[in-house]
Parts: sequence; structure tokens; C-alpha cells
Amino acid sequence: MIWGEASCSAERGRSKVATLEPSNRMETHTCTFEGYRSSGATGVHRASGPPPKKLCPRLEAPRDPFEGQAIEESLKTLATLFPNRASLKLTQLFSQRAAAQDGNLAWQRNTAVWALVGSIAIGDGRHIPIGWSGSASQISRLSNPIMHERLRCLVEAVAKAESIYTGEFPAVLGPQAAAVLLHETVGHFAEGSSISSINLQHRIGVRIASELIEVVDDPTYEDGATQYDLDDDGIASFAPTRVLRQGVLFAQLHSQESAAHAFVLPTANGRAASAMHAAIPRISNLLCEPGATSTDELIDSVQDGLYIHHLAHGQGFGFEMRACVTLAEVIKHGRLTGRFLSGGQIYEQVGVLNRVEALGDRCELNANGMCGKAGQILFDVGTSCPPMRLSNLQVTA
Amino acid sequence: MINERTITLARTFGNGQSESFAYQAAKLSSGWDVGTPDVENEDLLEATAQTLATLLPQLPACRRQQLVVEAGTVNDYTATELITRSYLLAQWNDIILGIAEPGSNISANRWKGTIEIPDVNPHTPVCLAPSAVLALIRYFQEFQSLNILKPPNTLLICDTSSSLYPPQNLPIDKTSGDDHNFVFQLLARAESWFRPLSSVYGSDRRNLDIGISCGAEWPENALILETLSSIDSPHTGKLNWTAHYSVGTEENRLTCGEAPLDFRCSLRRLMNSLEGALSPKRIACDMDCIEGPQYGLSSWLRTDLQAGDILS
Repeated sequence: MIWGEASCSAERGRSKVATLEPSNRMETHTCTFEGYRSSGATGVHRASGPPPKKLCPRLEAPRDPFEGQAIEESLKTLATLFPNRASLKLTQLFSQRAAAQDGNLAWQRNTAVWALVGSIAIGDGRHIPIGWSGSASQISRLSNPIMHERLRCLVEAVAKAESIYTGEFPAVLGPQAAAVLLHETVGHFAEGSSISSINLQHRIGVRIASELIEVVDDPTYEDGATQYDLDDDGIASFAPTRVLRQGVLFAQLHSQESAAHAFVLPTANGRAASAMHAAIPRISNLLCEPGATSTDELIDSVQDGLYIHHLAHGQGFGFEMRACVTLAEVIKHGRLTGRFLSGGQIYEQVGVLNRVEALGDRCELNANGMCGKAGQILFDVGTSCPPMRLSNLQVTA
Repeated sequence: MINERTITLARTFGNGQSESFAYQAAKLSSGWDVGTPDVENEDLLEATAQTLATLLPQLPACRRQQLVVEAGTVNDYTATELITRSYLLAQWNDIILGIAEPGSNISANRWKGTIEIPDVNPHTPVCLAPSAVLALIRYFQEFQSLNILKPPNTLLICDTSSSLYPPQNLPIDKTSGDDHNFVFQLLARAESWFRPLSSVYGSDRRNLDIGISCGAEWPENALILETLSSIDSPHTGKLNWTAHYSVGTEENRLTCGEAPLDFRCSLRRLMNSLEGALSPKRIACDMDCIEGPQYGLSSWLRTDLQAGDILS
């Protein structure tokens, strides 16, 4: 919809938060919220409570899509995996959002997301950060034995890991680590600015990754961290947006407002943390096409280097990105050695994926869909990525 | 022991925007429930608009749009009593102009004009205003978890549940059996619950009360860093900082024009530069883009830095 006189976006919903302490003490709290953001001749007004009827009809209380899945049960299962070591917080949020013009409803849709954050103690005062999130349809991941086993293996490996050494190394990024780098470099580079008057269209045509890399952003992707028919500007999402073609930025991701400033069509990427926030250009599901090389072949071709299993706390700022190395493994003579390393950071420029020499033949969705931009946190920003072999990767202290 | 807390507040901005919120947190047998009751805040909005209109002409023309006036009331219900606190708060470019009882006067006439960085004498001593000190210490605490840097011995940092900003003031009864930190975050950070997606980030920090054990004298003229923020992750090298600045003294300043000051300095150098307190403690605010505005207390601090040290 075109925002004009007396336009209004409103949201009504509920969240549940369960916390688990290492002592196994568990608490559950709820939050019922309703609020709106209106704009008109007198400026922008944000408020809690239902919107005035002249701006937007009152929304109905949304149905709970998590019904039948006791939030405490999910946490208890994880607690049994790591007795007296887990400090976790699980949030479930569901709401109905709508937008209206002069009191007439323009669109409405339901949102349901969840996030598990916290840490697991591994001794010596060290902790492994945990971050899983996504849309309601993916909450079964919390009780998936494969995810539990992966987490258990990760915790065990980090517990016996040595301190990582710094320098530049040939490296293979596992799917999760590759997803973090792709998200921070390609994803955020492709987004329009959160300040809509800043036009970043000059970035089109810039090479930011090797010519092997093809990337689309797809809000309609069925297995993604998110799936929506309308973005928070009410723009319909019909098809993926091609972001990278042979490593070159092909198109930017736009909200309605940023698209207008760039004189292009919006790409259904206007997303807001709540109806009270302005929609800004955000990634939906960033999908990188797989290559034709098996993971074993990627590792074999490196000979001596590092396999990066897991990264955490990815951050992009300007033309730089950082991520903490949770777990890496030494590759020697083309084989994984079982010698694990942890600590340190990947500290690279936005063009780090120019050093990609080969792509793995299977993609995986990153389990963590949390992403912050301009003070707005989304739980459902997906990245699906194959393993990648890089000619070198910089690891700093 | 608090069983229920309601907060109503309204804000009016220099750019024409306004906000009006109400939160209600109630203790149930199963846990706490936070809600957003339908409350009319017209009186509060009117009060903030009036104060805004009074303050705007007192400020230098540049960045007047960044003026924010907030008015609110916090009600805490215990089994036996109701404790009510009302307030009026004004801030400009994240600098607290004042916090007072509703109906009181807040003044903004300590800025007499504008100045640009090329006009600043490089030998001018650098001082930190309370909000800049709070932002520096909160940033330092993120770094402290890495156990690489210790604060100067003279610095006194206290994590407290009390605050001059009533919505973040919470006298918690430690015998209540609740998870004190969680209840604090729930009741004293109510705004993040209204935006539930940010409630996911658990912080174990409450309100910081910052002091320094030695005093210092105001220089005749100082480069005052009013606010401070860094977009860098904490590390041991030089960090990129952004600061709103003024030149002068606490009561008589020239403020920066449109652009804030960008400079590079290591966290160790900044922390070790803190020399002494120039004033009693004042209310301060760190505008954290994830955790929301975080209020605290700090004195004005003098540093051993000169303008040229951070401008070069």
C-alpha cells in the first residue's frame, strides 16, 4: 500500500518466555501486547493498545500456532542433554499484523516465530553460545534427535579444543560457517539502507564473491526460516530475487520506501520487528546454489588448513565483518585430524567470498535465523548454504 | 514485594513524532504476565508537547529535531500499599537536559551557540559528560568479560536496582523467592517486553552508578564529549568512536554542528585517561540500540587527553 494520510499499521499478539537455569529452575512468563504506528499530516505516532477505529479496525486475538507444544517440555529435553550446565531462554511469539488506510483494512497476516538463546557451560569458565530460531513451522527442530546429537558433539568437541592459532589459512567452511559469512557479506551488502534516503544502487555490478557463487533471496521458500506472501509494506512476494549472478551483485533487496528512493520496484523485503517499527530492507531467505564437490573432496583438496565447523556472533559493519570461531578442526594431508580448535575471530572484508575456489554439493539451512539491523531484531532470517573451500581465511585473536 | 507494576508514559519529539505507551506487569501463580492496557495518555502527551515548545527556542538551531520530552507515571502495587512516581524528562541528542517532577521547569539554556572541530584548539583538555562516561563503562563491561582489561583502581562502578529514571527504578525484595535478575529485566525494562523480539536477549546488568575516588578541577575551556558510541566489537586495538561534543564548561558551552565527532582510540587508552570527578553524580543515559535506553548515574570526569590526541 502507499502510505499517505492517516495510514496505520497495527499488531496484536502474545509471547511466552521460558527460562532455564543450570540449577534446573524453570520459569515461564507471558506478554500480551497490542500497539500501532500511524502516520498522517501531524507526523508519526506510536502507541500501545488498540488503534483508534478511525485509523484501523481492531484486530482479533490471533490463534496460538504453538498450541499443544508446551514450551517447558522443549527446554526440559535440552536440560536432560546437559544437566546443570544449560542456561537457556526460549521465546515463542505469535501475532496478527495489519495495515489500514483511512480506517480501511489494506492487509493483514499472522506472524509466528521462536528463538532459543543462551549458553552451555563446558568447564574452565567457558561457555558455548546457543542460538536457534525460525518460524513456528520449524519449532519441531527443538525436539529433533539429530539436532540434539549435533549439539552434543559440538559441545564435546569444544570442551576438548585447544586455543586457535592466528594467521591466514586455506580453509573449508562447513555449511553453518559458510552461512554466517554469506549472510554478513552478501546478504547485508545486498540490502538497501535502513535510512531510505541513502541510495546504495551504485553497488549493483560490484563483484563481492567468486564467480562460482549464485545467490537468490526467496521469501516464498518452503523450507526457509521464514515464509511470507506479503512483506510488512504489504508488497506481495511472488518469486525469488536474484541477488548475486556469478559473484556480481545483480539486484538489491528493497522495502517500498528504499525502492522509491532508488527508482526501482520493491522486492518484498520490507520487514519490521513489530508493527510499531518502520519496515526496512531485510533479507528473507538467502539461498546459495550448491556446487558439485563432495565435502570430503573439498577437505582433500585443501591438504593442510582448517575446517571451520561453527561460527557465532556474526557481525557486519560497513565493508568489514567479524564472527567468533566456536569450533574449527585441523586439516592435515587432506584429512580431518580430530584436533579441535576454538576461540579467535574471523575478521574479513566484505569481499572474502572472492576467495571461494569450490562449493560443496549439499546445502543446509543455518539453524540460527536471528538478525539485527538498525535496532530491530528478527528471528526468522534464513540462510541456506553449501560448504565452501577458500584459498585462505584470516583468523585473528 | 511488588505484585503489580503499571507504567504509562508519553514522548514528544522535536521532529513532530509522538509516542504513548502503557505497560502492566502482574504476578500470577504461574509467573509474570506483561500486558498493554488501553489507557488514554492525552494529558501526558499534552504535558510533553508544552515542555517541548518551551525548550526548543532555548537550544541552538542545529539538531533541534533531536529534542525528546517524556512524561510518565510508575505505579508499584504491593500487598499493602501503592507507590506512585511521576516524572518529566528532557533529552537532546541523547544528552539528558533534566529530569524533574511534572510541572517543573527544565532548562536548556547552557548552550550558547555552535562550534566546528577545526576551530577547537588541539591543546584543549578533554572531559566526559555523564552520558559519555556511562556509555564508555557499559562498553568496557562487555570487554571485561574477556578478562583482558581491568578498570582503573580509582573507578567505582556499582550495579544497582535503583535509578533516577522511575521506569528503571525497582526496589526488589530479595526475599521474594523470584529470580531477581529476571524480575528486574521484566519490570524495569518493560519497553523491551512490549517489543518482545528484543526481550530474548537476557542481560544481567541493571543500572550503573559510576564514580571516581579523586576529584579534579574544571579547565577554563574543555572539549566535552557529551555522548559516546562505538560500532566496533570490543578488541585491544584502536576502536572507532562517535561522539556528540561541546566546547566550554558544564554551564556555558558551544555545541557541535550537524556532524558528530568520529575518532579512533583504544579502550585501554580511554579508560586509563580518566583522572577525576568534576561534579557530583548526575543522571546519564546510554542509547543502546539493542537493549534500548539504559539510564545510570555518573559524575563529569576529566581525562588526561587533549583535543589533539583524538583529533589527529
